[in-house]
Amino acid sequence: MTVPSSREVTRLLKAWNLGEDDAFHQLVPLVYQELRRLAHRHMRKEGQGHILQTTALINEAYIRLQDLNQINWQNRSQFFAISAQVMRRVLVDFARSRKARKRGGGLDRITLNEEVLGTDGKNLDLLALDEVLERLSGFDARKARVVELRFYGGFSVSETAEALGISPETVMRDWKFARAWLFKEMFPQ
Amino acid sequence: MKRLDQVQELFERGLEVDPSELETFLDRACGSDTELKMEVMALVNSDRDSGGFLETPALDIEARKLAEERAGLQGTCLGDYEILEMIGEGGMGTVYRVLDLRLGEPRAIKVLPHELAEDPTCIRRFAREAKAAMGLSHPGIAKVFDVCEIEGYHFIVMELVEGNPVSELLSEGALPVEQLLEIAVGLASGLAEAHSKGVTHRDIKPANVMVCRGGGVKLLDFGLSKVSRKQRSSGLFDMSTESLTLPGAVVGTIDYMSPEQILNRGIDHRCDIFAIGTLLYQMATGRLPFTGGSVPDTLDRICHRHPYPIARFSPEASDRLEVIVRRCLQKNPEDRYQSMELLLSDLKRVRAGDVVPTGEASGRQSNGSARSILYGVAAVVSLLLLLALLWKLAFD
Repeated sequence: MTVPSSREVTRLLKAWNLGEDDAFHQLVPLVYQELRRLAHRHMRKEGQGHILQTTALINEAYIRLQDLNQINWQNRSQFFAISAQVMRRVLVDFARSRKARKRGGGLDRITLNEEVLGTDGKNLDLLALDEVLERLSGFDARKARVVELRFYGGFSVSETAEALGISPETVMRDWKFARAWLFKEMFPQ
Repeated sequence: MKRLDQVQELFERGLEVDPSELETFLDRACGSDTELKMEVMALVNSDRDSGGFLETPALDIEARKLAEERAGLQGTCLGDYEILEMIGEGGMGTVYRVLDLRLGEPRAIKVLPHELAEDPTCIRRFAREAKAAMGLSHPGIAKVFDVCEIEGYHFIVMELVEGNPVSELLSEGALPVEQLLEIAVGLASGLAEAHSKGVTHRDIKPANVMVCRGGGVKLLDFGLSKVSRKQRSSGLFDMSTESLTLPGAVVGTIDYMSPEQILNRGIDHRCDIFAIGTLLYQMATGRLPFTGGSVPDTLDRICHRHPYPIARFSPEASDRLEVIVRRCLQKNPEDRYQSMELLLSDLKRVRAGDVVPTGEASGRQSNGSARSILYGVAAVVSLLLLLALLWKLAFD
């Protein structure tokens, strides 16, 4: 499976900015493809239920991207950055409504605390993370973007570097620092 | 040097230092700036404690929690229904075996997926379709008892059908003719009843047809096919995303579609007749009449290719069955059986060993439909181009 060619995406973005509505409709499937590629990358030994949920999340992200046709995307990097932002939005919204159901329904026997205390990464509270990430963004926007691209968008180090126009080394440094900072804020000693 | 850069630099250097010497190192590096020291110290410790923090992608975390939530209903109660176990999962919802605590009766419930349950249009359609299905009472149709919303969960309460879906029987290949005819007659009589009440199924496929443990056939999931989120995106892309999803997630929903469903034309009870034809063909031969190597190919075959004769794959199948299937699979609804009753009586005749009238009694032979076929071809060509593009994008 290949990444949508950079030239193709850039060409479509330009055409779209020049007022060719058709270009947008060609562009959206490319984003969808990109999201699916990322999902494949993450799809490991998980069960059928997990696969169905992943598909549902990606479909949601895709539908929202369709609604984004007012934005003037300039190039491929920006385009991928926006994919990551949309994915973040979708995941946070899903986490929020799931939590509301849990509170309202009282059906789940897992307590809320368990979710908040999940420091192992697999059980992370995406709502709490979203809040601290906003704070990080307040004083170091680039580091927050790195987290957004890697953690929500699922992009590799080199793709993140390309999207932000910085070196892979800088991505790694930002990532390491942001990770420690976010952890410190979420789980104070 | 900016404060932040200073913190980052000390953090990186601190990571290199042996933990027992960190404090000494920071005392020296920060001098009297204890705030700086505390911050860097906390960051270095965080890094050491953080384990797998942010290593699992967010998409994975949320997908797993949603999946767990679905399975997590087990052992709880929704209103008067105690949820005993999950017995099935599909795009349209999760099915559980439940106990109706008021009546002490076993039941099945199908819970609408959350992503659909958050859409008000979808909920309304769900309730409307379920209510239409509640009006049906026939041994060939799994009874729908109720449609409920409890604690944010939307679900329908159905008869619990114990048995094997035809999809399971088909995994071993073609079915013996007697069994095929039993299933076909049971299915057609249930559908004849539904059609007489003005309810069409629209999603007949082997997974929805149950061969009951105690004998007989029951059709599941009446009306649910209309609940999908078509209103949110174009019908075309909706369908293609469904079949383009990750392998195994959604199984072959297009294989039983009629040409008019694909072309998004007027759909009536005759699309169920087409779907039965597809199912009959599959039960007789062990293969689908119109399956291609890709989605566009399959759609093309459904809309304007004729299947190979059944006899090519199962020589023992009777000519009479061949005639019935061929009539069901006509591209133009006008050329098919015009009612489920007519199909049912032909099927019964074959079962009884009678000769099926091959002529004009049951359905009008093709004429006057050339123009609509031409329109159809034009629509299919444009649709195929689009799908081919999507297909290429998704799998290149």
